Amino acid sequence: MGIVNILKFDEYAGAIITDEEDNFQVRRTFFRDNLYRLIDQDIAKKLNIEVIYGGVGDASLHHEIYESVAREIRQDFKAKKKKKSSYKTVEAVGRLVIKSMNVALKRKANNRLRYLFGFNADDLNRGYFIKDGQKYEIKQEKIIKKALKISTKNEEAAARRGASEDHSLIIGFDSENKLCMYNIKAECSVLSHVSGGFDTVGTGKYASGLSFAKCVGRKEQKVRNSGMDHAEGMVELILSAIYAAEYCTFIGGLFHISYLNGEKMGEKVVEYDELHVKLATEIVHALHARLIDRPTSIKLIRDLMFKGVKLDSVESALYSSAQDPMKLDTYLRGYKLDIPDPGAFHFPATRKKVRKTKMKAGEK
Amino acid sequence: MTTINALKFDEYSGICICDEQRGWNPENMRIMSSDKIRPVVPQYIQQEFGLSAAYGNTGSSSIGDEIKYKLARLIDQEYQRRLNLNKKKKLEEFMTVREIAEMAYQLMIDIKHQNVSDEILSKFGFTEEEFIQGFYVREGEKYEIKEKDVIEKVYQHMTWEKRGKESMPVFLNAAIVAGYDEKEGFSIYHLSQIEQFSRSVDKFFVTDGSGRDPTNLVFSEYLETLPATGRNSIDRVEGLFTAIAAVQYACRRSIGVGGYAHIKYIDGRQKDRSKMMIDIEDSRAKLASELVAAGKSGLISHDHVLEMLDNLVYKNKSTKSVNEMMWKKTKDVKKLHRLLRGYKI
Repeated sequence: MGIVNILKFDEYAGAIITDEEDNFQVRRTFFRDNLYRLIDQDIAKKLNIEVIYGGVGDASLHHEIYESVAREIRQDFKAKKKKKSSYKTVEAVGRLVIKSMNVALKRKANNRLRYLFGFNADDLNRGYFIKDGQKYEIKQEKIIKKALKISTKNEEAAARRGASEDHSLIIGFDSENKLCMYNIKAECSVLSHVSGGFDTVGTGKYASGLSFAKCVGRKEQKVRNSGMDHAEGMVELILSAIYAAEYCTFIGGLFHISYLNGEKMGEKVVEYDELHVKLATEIVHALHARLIDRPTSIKLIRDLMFKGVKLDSVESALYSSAQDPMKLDTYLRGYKLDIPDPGAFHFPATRKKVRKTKMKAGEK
Repeated sequence: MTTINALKFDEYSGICICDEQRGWNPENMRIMSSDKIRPVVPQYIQQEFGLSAAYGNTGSSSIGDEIKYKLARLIDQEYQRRLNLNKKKKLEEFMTVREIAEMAYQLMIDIKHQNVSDEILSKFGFTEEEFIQGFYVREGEKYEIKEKDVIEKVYQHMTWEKRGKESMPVFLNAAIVAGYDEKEGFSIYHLSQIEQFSRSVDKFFVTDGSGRDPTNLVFSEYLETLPATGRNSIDRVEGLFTAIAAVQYACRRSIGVGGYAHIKYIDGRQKDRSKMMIDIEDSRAKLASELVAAGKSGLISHDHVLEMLDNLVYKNKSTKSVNEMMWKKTKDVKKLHRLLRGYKI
């Protein structure tokens, strides 16, 4: 369950964010990690490729996919070496994810079918099964209907309505295509190219989607094509997760963020530690409540996440840049502040002044 | 998706506490605005008879709210009714908390039958009573209700035996009534539409809602530290600490529980009857929760936390002064500051 969001900053860079809440019936914990680096670092360096996978829904399914994909890439690289590797693009890795997902889902479906009826999905397709050398036709309508629901993955989604379905996002870069992002839904297992520069899966997707829509929608096409400042992008990505955590169930705890930059020398993926991400979240929270202004928040995020400025000094800068540090502090501690619609878009102050002046002039 | 709780301190006083999270649509999106525990005795009755009670519900907000509002109105009407019957036009005594709980349960019954009957009538064209008698008459013609599938469906609507979705909003409700009256002292009642009961609470506390498992653990562990005789006079500050800790634990571990703690302290000894019930559901509740978190983490000593809680909730000291005191009493300001902002310490 939870949320996984991705945002493309420009043709080389982007980031992925998730929360850490996990649920068992009505209980919750805060130590789940939804993000996986699918390629071992030594192989990734040699192939100049990085792929990060984030999944919501059934945690064991995503873990199984990760293990199977990482193992296959490892074995393939060992057997074929760099030039002949089958997985030199994000898309190729994405196709491998689909393959692994199908294997895992089929195994799960067969487990249920064998337990309930004594036959598997292939038996269902051919219309009979064999037990102790004897052939049995599958003709009972009610059984066929139920078995078909299980084998075509229609059953689980319906049974878990309200909770998150098994959806995942892939973000990565390769030498050929630069930054690429894909969406995979377990119920149809299709590798869908992410258009529009962002995507969101999980129970908070509508709230996050609103946040992304505000961000992307206010930028003109030219700006959208050329990309956005990475620190600004990080602010928007974190804001999308804040929206989800604030208004949607099954999302909570600290966020986990991975930043990818194919242009960067050396380490091309940064997996931020919890303290940094928490402070970054506070900075964006402060912006969201308009307790600091936007340029300040972007500067603080840049210092914290891209320039390596020490956490303590960014924390101090956050408080000193707030107009009302006391108010900021109570807000960050979770007190209710009656700030009207903090998420709403407002015209810049200058424009308000112009309008007021015109009205004062009156032009009677 | 809630935690509602009541804890009896002694024969005069006790506390009700809940969270404020509500899931408001089929996708269970959340909003921190639910008013789950409300006083139900009009102020003038409280003043006259020293009767004070609160009703807290879990389940469908609309049904819970309907009961709360109707209950307050019914108590008011009951007063007028009794007054009209009295020749002196003055009542010597009025209701007990037990009677209020019975009244609340009767409201649950009425609402259940109204809702189920409306739904059955809309789907099948007959009422609950007609279903029980096995036939209905329309325009002079008698129709026997004999179809097995119809009988099974209506039966499920009426009993919720298979826990189906159709009647869930009606049946999936429970409530707490807690309060003080001069006849029976402080008492707590537990009402459930899920299991169809209304009963007196015998064990000092009751907890319900999706957060009941964590809260049960916290209350039980605290009460087990007290000798049997000590449970009849729980220290009100220790009790408050435990109740807040229980709600915090439920917020942390249970889906659908969150936001500020809403606290209602009822004290029958209060000479000024208008102050028999203290509501704490603003920034004081938040600060009280912070104090408990600080105490649980060991960043402020337990004794200091109790002293500050006492000042904040019972002695009505300002949040500003208690907040300042909190920072003075901690062993590690930086750590506490981060803990309260949600960092993992």
